[in-house]
Parts: sequence; C-alpha cells; structure tokens
Amino acid sequence: MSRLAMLVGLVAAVLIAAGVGAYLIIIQSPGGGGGGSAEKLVLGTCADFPPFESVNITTKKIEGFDIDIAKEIAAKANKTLQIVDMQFDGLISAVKVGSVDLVIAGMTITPARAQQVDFSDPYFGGNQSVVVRSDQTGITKWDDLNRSIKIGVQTDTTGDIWASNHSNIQPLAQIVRYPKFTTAMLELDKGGLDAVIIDSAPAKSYTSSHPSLKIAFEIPTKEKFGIAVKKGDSGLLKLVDDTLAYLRSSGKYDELFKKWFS
Amino acid sequence: MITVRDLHKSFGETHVLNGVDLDVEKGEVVVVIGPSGSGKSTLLRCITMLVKPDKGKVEVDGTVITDPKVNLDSVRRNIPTVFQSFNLFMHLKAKDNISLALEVVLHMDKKEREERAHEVLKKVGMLDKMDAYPGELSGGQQQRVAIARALALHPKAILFDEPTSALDPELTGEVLGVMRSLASDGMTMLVVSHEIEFAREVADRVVFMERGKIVEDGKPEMMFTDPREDRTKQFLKRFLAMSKR
Amino acid sequence: MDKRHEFVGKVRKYQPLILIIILVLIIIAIIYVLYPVLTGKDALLVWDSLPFLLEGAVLTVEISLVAIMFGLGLGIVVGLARVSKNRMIYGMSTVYIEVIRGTPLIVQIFIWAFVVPQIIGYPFPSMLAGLIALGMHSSAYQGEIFRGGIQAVPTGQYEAARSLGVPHLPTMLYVILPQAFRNALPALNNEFIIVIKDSSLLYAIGVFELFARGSNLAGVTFLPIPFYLGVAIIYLTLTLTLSRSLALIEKKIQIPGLGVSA
Repeated sequence: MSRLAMLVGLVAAVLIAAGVGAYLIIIQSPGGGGGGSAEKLVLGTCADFPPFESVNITTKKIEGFDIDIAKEIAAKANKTLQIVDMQFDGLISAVKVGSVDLVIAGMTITPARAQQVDFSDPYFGGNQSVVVRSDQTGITKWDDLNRSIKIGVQTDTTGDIWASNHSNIQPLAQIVRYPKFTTAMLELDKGGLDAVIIDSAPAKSYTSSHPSLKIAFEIPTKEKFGIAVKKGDSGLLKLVDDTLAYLRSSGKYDELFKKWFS
Repeated sequence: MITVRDLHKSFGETHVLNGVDLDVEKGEVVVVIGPSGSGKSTLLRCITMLVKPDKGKVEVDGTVITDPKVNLDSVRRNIPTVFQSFNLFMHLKAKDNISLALEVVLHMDKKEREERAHEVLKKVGMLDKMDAYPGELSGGQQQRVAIARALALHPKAILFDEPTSALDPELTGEVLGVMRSLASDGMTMLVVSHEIEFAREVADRVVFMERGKIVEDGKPEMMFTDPREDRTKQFLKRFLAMSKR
Repeated sequence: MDKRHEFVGKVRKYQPLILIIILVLIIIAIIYVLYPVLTGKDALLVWDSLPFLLEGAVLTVEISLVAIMFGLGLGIVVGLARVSKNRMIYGMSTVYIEVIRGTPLIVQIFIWAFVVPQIIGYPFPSMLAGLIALGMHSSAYQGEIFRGGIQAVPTGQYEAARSLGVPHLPTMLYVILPQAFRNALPALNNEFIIVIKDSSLLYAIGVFELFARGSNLAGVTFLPIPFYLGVAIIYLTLTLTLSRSLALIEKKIQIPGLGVSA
C-alpha cells in the first residue's frame, strides 16, 4: 500500500510545484493578480504604432504619446503602471473581461466600439494615410485604389473598417488583415502588398524611419481617438477624463504633442 | 485437491471447452496432452479463473473457486501458474521477482523473504544469478526462475502451461529436470505439455484432450503403449511420427 | 537486384560523409545569410538586443516548466482513467482528451483568456490563462502517452502477477506502472519539447516571452532575418538541451535486457 501513497504523493507534489511556479510567474507578469489591484494600473496596448506606442530599439521599453498619457493617469491614481502588449483586435475583449484596466492604443471612437466599452473624452484627432513603396508611382490619389491592388490593414482598426466598407475598393479578397501593423509594413516593403492603410501620425513615423516607404496620400476620415475602459467603470473613466482635462489646462498636453509629433 | 466438473467455455462462436471433468489428487502429477486448439490452456486458465468459464464448477482444496463470492487472490496463491512465455517481471532482478509475491501476498518481512528466495533459487539451480535481470537470462534460466517464483509461495499445487514449448531444445532439459525434482518432492502438478518422455517417466496420470473434451485418462504405461480410444491412438501416432523426424 | 544492393551498400558506406557535407552546407548558408546583418551597420543593434531576447527565453523556460509539471500531474491521472474498467471514469477522460486534441491550441488559449473570465465574471491575468491552456493541453497528450505506456506492458505480466495471488492494485503499482513509465519516457521527451515550442503561442494574448520580443523587434527594426532566425536558434538550443538531457536520463535508468534504446 505504501506504493499507492507514493504515487498519490508524486502526483500531488508535481501539481503543487506547478501551482507554486505558476503563482510566482503570474505575480511577476503585467496584470498578474487579476487585472489591476490596489497598487497597479494595467494598460492594454499594441506597441506597433509609433509615435503613440512602440518599442524603443535601444532601451527595449515600450514608449510613446499614449504611454506618457497612461503614466499621467497612473500617477494621478497613485498606482504603478503595467503595460500589456497584445494584438489590436484583442484589446477590447481584454478590457471587457478585465485582464487590463484601460486601453490606450490610438483607438478611434466608433459607435460600434462604444457599445462594447466606455470611451473617455477624445484626446487626439487624425486621418488615415495610404503608405506605399517609395518607387511606387501608380498610386497617388483616391481613384487609384480602384484597380486590383493588394491593401494591407491591421485587423479591426478603422483603416480595416473603412477599407472594407468603401465601394471604391474591390472585393474583400484584396484586403489582407494583419494582427500587427509591423507585419503589414514588412510585407509592403518586401513587395507582397501594394499599399497599407494606417493612421497618419504613425504613417509619418514609419516612412521617416524607413525611407523605402512613402506616404501616397491622406484620406480625410477626421477620426478621434479615445481611451477605453470597461463599461460601467465610472470611477476610472472620471479619473481618465480628469487627467486629460488637467493635461490640457496645464499645457502638458502641448508639451507631449511637441515631444512626439514634431 | 483440484476438482473440475462440467466445464464449458466459448469465445464467440468457438466452443473451446465442451464439458470437462477432471480430478487431481494431492501429490499427483497429471500431464495433459492433445492437439493445439483442444482447450488445454483454456482449461488451466479456467482453473485459476484467469478466464471465467461459462458453465461448470471448479473446486480447489475445498474452496469452490467458481463461486463469485470467493476472494480469488487468496485461492490463487495456492495454485500458481508457470507460463509458456515465462512472464517474469522484466524490471525486477531474479530475487526480487520472487520476493514481490512474498511481500505482497504472504506479508513476509525482509529477512524471511531473503531466506525463502535463496532457498527456492537454490532448488532450481539459479542462486548464482539472483541479481540478474530477466533480460540477461536465457529462456531456460528464466523459466527456472519462474518455477522458483511459484514455488516460493508454498503452494498446494503448481500449474504448468506448456512450460518448455517456447524453449530451444537444448534448454528444455534443465527445466524438465527441475520439474522432475519437484515431482519427486511430492508437489501436486497439473502440466500441459508435449514432452512425451517427461510424461512417461514422471506422470502419475496422462490425460488426452481433443476438441474441448477429455477423451481418455489413464496411467502413462497404458496410454502410451495401448490406449483404449482410437482417437488417442491417432494422435500419438501422428505426434510420435512427427517428433521422430 | 544486385545493382540495388550495390547502391545501398555505397550509400551506407558514405553515409557519415554525406551527413557531414550536408551539415557544412547548412552552416555555410546560415553564415552567408546572417553575416551582413551581424557585421553590418545594424550589428550593434542586434547584439544589444540579445539580453532582451534572453530575458524572454527565461520566461519561456519558466512557462514551459510549469505547463509540463501541470501536464504531468494531471496526465498521470488522465492516463490511469483511460485504462480504467469503470465506464464513467473511462468516458470522462476520453471526452477530455478528444476535446483537447480536437481543437487547436491557439483557440484553447483564447478561450481561457477571453471566454472563461467572461463566463465566470471574474478577470484573469493573461499569464494565468496561458498557463492553464498550455498545461491542460499537455495533460491530454501526456495522458495518452501514459496510456500507451501502460498498454505496451505485455498482458502476460499482469496475468503472472494475478496468478500468484497479487491483487489488482498492487499489480498495477509494483508490476505494470514501473514498466509503463519506462515505456513512456521517449514519448514524454517528445512532448516536453512540444510544450516549449507551443509556449510561443502565448504571444497572441500579450505574454512577453521569447517569440513576442523577437517579433516585436523584427517589426520595429525591419530586420526580420537576425531576429526571426535568432529566435529560432535560441528555441533550438532550448529544445536540444532538454532532449539530450532526457535521453541521458533514459539511458541511466535502463534495465539490462529490457526495451529498445532511443
């Protein structure tokens, strides 16, 4: 019978060890401890979107306009900021289930999205741009998107939504969706795509750091970005709006804008 | 000692045992012969209830083993089986093969187990190999250890299911020798085998089985020189002719 | 017939030489591809990123370890259930295995990250979801491996023990399971390696492990070659190390005369 005890003991020991290990890993990870706790504020974002959020090559840290705003919010809430970097189309689900507390990711306020989350006051306005290879001469205006060219977008972004809905663009088969912008840009550079539709500010950022790409033209969609929190989280929402108001009135917003957009 | 009454067993459509009656008295050596498919192995397996018979009764040392209320494990230790394919525990040394049952079934302590294992290994002539693993032993050596393993339990009888059929001819001698020695010590043995010489010399009774029934049952001298039944005659004629080739 | 024998004989004779030549060619190809990157203007950047990647590798190892242990403990139970004569126990374990083997791991990860928290109404850190998904997935496969190991033990072993009067439970514990474990080792070796590789899927829910970091850097720097190849090499190092170590252990506990060598 002692052998039975040994077997049961082995199974129990292995499971307990796994549990302890899991616990140690989880509390060290961003969002560990079930979304934000008393001291942490967990930000969900998609760090492929300079200058709003991207990974600094030298410091390997995630930084950007959105990140600085997040830091201000965390400071106001007296909590430490933790960043979770994931694919854009998972962000809304993440804030809905609570794995992140808020989402700042260059996210445009749309009616459809507003049904899923609560948005703060708009904190940025922008358009979409069409990015092509520098040697591309055939795409200079709106109508040029008519032929059977391949367009890359990031899944569930307004660029994606816009491209899918616009009659000028041929069947959906032409639109290739990527979880991250960076992959789309790589494809474009390689020649697998003819154009990528992305917000104007990141378009400027990408094309200036990668001379092999250029902006063909802008699409004046006049979008507004918002910060998303879980529906009903009025406490956090108020905190966010108060922080934004503070940033504007104190001039800090202009400082950040200058820092990241000039 | 062992009583079998009207034993029937079918596997699907095949009737393997068709009403078998057999008695084995204490101290008797009974050898069962017959063509393959006659049900000899199935008979042994039914006696230890490794296979549940469809109909019939088996009694071992006074206990009706076919009764569902009986605890099989406590009866089986008295009638261990030596198998054609030895079935030694491959992950255990020879001596541990023996002491496993001693510990779990007879609850002997360490000292008793060691002594008993030594004793039986000596009896089968394998004491010098007590630390060897089965994979390191020849067929004949493995079978001798298997016999020691059965013997260690102080059983009332030992069943042998074609113990030498899987052995090369040169190795059958050492195993038959051990079996001979057990017989002369007075062990009750029920042996299924093709070894006619062994049966002639050691058996108290020889039983001929064919197609799930016992055809004839008698002393070896009678069975081998002048059997009553025709079918027995036919089988022995064919069998002895083949083995002479 | 003789010509074929001759040819096969020749191949066998030169086999080591052929392998060496192929290996050298592969190494030359890799160096040729990596050389410009590793010594060109971006070289510094790539080498600087190594600690960043290795941090991710450490996390990968930690995650894999926890998932393997979880899978081991649960897998033993599942494997035993799969050989049980009890219809209920057998049925439940079969359903468990069929469901997990029949759905893609990435889907399971997303279900744990987004569906389960919503159902139970309580947030889940992504790391926890990932660990659970990875662990349960491995437990199903390990369960099948243990079942295979148990069933590979010849029935004669079971019959011999029972015919000596050893009851069912001690037979399993002293005769069957020790042999079953030995049978299972090569397949377990394989499964552990698979867990390490599967851990890369957690990038999709925001876990910043090795692949996530490599992918991120590749996208930001537009240098897929050093980063994707580099990440592959790091994974290969991890899996080969684990595989060789387990093979050594297998050899150490091998019983003379029993089983096949790896």
